[in-house]
Amino acid sequence: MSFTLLAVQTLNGLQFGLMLFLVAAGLTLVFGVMDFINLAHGVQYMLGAYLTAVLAPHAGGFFGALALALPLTLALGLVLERIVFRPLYGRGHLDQVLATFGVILIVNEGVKLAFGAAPISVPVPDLLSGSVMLTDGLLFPVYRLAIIGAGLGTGLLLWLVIDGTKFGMLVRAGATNAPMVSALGVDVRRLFTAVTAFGAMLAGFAGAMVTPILSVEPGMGDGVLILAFVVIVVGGVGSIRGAFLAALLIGLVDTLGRSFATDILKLMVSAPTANRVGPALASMAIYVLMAGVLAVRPGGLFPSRSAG
Amino acid sequence: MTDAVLRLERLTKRYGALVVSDEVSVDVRPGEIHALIGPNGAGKTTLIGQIAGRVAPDAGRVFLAGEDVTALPAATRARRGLARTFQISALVSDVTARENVVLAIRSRSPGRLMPVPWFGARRFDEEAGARLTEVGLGDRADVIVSSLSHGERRALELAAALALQPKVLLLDEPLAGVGKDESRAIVKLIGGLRGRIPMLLVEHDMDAVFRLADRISVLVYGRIVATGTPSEVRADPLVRSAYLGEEDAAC
Amino acid sequence: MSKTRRDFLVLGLMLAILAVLPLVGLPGWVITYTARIMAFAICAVALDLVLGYGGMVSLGHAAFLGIGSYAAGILIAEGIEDFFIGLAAGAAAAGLYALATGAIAVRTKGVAFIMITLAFGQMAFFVANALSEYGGSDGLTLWSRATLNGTRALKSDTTLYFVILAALVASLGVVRLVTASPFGAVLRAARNNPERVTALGYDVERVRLWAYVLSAVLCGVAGVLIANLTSFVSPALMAWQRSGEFIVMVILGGAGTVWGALAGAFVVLALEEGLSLATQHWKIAFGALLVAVVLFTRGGIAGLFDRSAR
Repeated sequence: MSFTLLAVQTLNGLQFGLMLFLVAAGLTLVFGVMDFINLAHGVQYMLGAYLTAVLAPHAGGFFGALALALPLTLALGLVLERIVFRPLYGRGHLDQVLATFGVILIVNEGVKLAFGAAPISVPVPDLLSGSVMLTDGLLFPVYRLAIIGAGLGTGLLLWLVIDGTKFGMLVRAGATNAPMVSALGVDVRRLFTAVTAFGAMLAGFAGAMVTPILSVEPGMGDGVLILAFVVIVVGGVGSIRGAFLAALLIGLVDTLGRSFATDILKLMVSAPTANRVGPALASMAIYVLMAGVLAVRPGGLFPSRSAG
Repeated sequence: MTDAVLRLERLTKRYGALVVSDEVSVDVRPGEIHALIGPNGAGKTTLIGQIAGRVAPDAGRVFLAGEDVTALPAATRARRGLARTFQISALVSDVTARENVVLAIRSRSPGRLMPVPWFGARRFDEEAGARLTEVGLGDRADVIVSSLSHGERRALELAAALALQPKVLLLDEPLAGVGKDESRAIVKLIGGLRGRIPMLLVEHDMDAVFRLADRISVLVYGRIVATGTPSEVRADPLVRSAYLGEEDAAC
Repeated sequence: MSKTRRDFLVLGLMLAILAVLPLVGLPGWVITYTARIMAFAICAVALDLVLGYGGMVSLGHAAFLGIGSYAAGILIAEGIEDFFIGLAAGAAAAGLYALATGAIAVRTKGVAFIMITLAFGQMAFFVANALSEYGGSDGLTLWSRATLNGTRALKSDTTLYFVILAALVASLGVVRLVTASPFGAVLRAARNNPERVTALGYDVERVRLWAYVLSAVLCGVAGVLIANLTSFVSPALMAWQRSGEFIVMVILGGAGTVWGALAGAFVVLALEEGLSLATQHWKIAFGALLVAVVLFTRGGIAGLFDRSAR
């Protein structure tokens, strides 16, 4: 029984981690390469979710809405990059924080204005409803498996693109030496417009995918954004590989921590104390993990630029 | 050997398969100007990083006045008497020249991080003025650094380094990017410090090096290929082929 | 008149107005609201030490405010009502949290520093949410304000107002003193060129860490004051948006200036209050204002106050 719970929660943690990866992937590249801090990335996640939730009834269900949400979040990413981010490259981090913070306020409130403050729920698409028996007694929702599949698939695709195409090569080269790449006649800015927009779409994709399992509400992107930051810092700013590993690590630690911290504590302290302290400790787990990693490696697991 | 002010003992640093410092041993003796030369990519920058404490060596040790400082961070080394200037002038650019020197002077005092205003300020201001006069910046003391000329900043870096009252001075290409006239002034300034403070001088300008140095070490591909007086180094066939020869051919 | 003297005159005038405000017969809510703004202004002044003078973009300062208020709130809930004990506890708790998290954060720079301070701020937020014994996400209502030397003097809003004003003046004084000190000179120099400052023998990370801790202690004090003022503490105090708001206060007022942070706090909170009277969705206007100010003032906000400073 307890093994089943562990297995289910591990899968849930994996699913959560993969969603975090989708949000963090594009962001870490932009941070690493442009030395740009974008607080407004979380709104892309929220917009992906809202577009899916709102369009679903009109677009023939979840999949139709998803198909529309992807290009729309890509377009929104392009627009934001063009209007707000681009003038901020090369400016101080303070300007970037303020402007992108402003964007969050606008979009969060704008969503409230347009769709109301009440959470919207989206039914699980019929095709992916129900549960499957993974092993004896281990029942897992098909939809969550689908998310894991989609996350892994996207990760693989990303890896193929970054590692195997000319575009990916330029992004990697740009990450280590932007002036060099522009000396080769490549428009680095256009390259990173593409990365930003593509990253926005990935975040939108993550937001769309979670609509059937989470409630869609204003500000839902903020928490995810901060978790994505933890992922990026732990993985090493600018490292896709680091973001992938860190996302899985954080997804697992957070999910397992929340389900088992209290039980584990009960082995050490009295049950009432464990019940009191457990949830607080569980909510600290990933930050403590971050602190631990950074204490040993200030540049994260895969520092892309050496400090020295 | 033991009386060297600065001694590098078989410093080794690798970046992956690339050995940037290959068992480098150099010593700077009291009173001497020891120049370190080498073609681009010889590993001078990494070596300076290891001496100053910004880069940790994989093996080998750094001794400052006989004391092993290999494990000490850059700031501590500076307080122990290792002053440096930077290849690209590094100064606090939004304050006056005087304040840059005051920072250096105060760094030696016990109240250097006092969280309340300190009343010894005037004494420091005066000492800073004297230091600036020494390097010919007496009348520029209260100019904001960002309005100083390139050569003036070079001189200011020297003044700040001297204000630390160091045991040894590390000069990282003090003539880089400086015009001819200013260059001459700085060479004169450095020459004037001979005997007062031992120096490790890293420099590309061969005229300056041969004029200033008491001894020269030649670094090629991370390895010291020769150490000796200017005339010995000039005569060394290995140096001629590996370094000077290239320079001649390039001209 | 020199610029510095004029600045101090402006500051003195602002504080003088604040000092006479409760004496001119304004309605009670104006006094409590002003007291609230002053408490937040303490945070802005404290953040300015880190942000304006130290050049560290901390996006987690609301946590220190929250920790201070929780320390005070929990003590009162547990029956320890003395104001000064609460004050000491709030300051110490916030300072210790800053010491532990700052030790990690100051080793990084730029984008990473921002993300790490934000993350640690969020950690405090979630822990407060998980404190089911002290109200969890609903917050904790305090049945009374703290006692002052065993008396109920703080029950009077006016008395508390003056206590908060005194704390504000003290914070301004502390920050002024520190920035004018050798420590402050090193902190400012390290903002401009950390490498040079290191080469001069200063441990930049340590200097930054202590500035961060001092700043947090002041925010902790502000938290204790807010807890007493509102008789209520909740995780919302340390929502990350509040950290962003503090940055806005410092920057709009003018970072690293004599009275900028104080003015910024009043401008921002008054603007919020004003906009919210006009529309429920005032945050759109506020956000748009932020974006516009950053994008359309030459060189951003930083450029704006650089020009006025020179």
